Amino acid sequence: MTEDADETQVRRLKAAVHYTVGRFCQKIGEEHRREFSRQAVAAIAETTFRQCDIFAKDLEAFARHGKRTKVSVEDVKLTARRSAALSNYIQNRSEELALQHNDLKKTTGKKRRNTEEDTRE
Amino acid sequence: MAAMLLCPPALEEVSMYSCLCKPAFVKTNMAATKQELCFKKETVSKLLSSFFKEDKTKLSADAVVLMTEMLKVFVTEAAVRSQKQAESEDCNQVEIEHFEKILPQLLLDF
Repeated sequence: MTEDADETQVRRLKAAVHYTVGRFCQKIGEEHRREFSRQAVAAIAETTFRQCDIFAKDLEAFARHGKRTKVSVEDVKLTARRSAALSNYIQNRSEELALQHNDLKKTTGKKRRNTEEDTRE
Repeated sequence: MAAMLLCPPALEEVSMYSCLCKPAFVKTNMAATKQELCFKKETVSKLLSSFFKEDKTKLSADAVVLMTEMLKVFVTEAAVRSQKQAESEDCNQVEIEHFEKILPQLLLDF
């Protein structure tokens, strides 16, 4: 029974990937006025699904190497090491994320201080 | 060194990460249309977790966000390179053969 559950999970995930890949191909097809054949979309979706397997195994290995059970941003940066452009892009995105976190902390900190001042007054 | 044979240097400079080479384009696109295509974080999280060998392994929220970006780049690169291959062969539709031709370099780049 658990095997069937696993299989349906895999099928659902593949279908979700296929749907999103299809939308990407549709958008790029519209931009360049060249439609993607159904076979091509299916092939890209299958390749993306299999690439996720490789990414996941790499991420797990990097986390284990760092003696952690939780995959971190540093592990993701390592997976993007093969190309300088990709590595820089991921680095920039991770810095943007870190800034967003800092902004959130600052605003919540300010709100707390304001409410404290109000209660004192 | 097979990668160099598949993709001559001139082409490599132009086609490599076509979506990343024009960051300005990406930014304006994001500003113009709020319906930006991306994978759902939940899907990416479930997808990656299903491939982990150990149950203990978990994903941090930021890692999921970054992996979503990576997958978006992967799919975009695959699609744009296939489309350019079809363009270079003067085909009106992007067929599986075009994808097959760019696949080796794509996998080497990731």
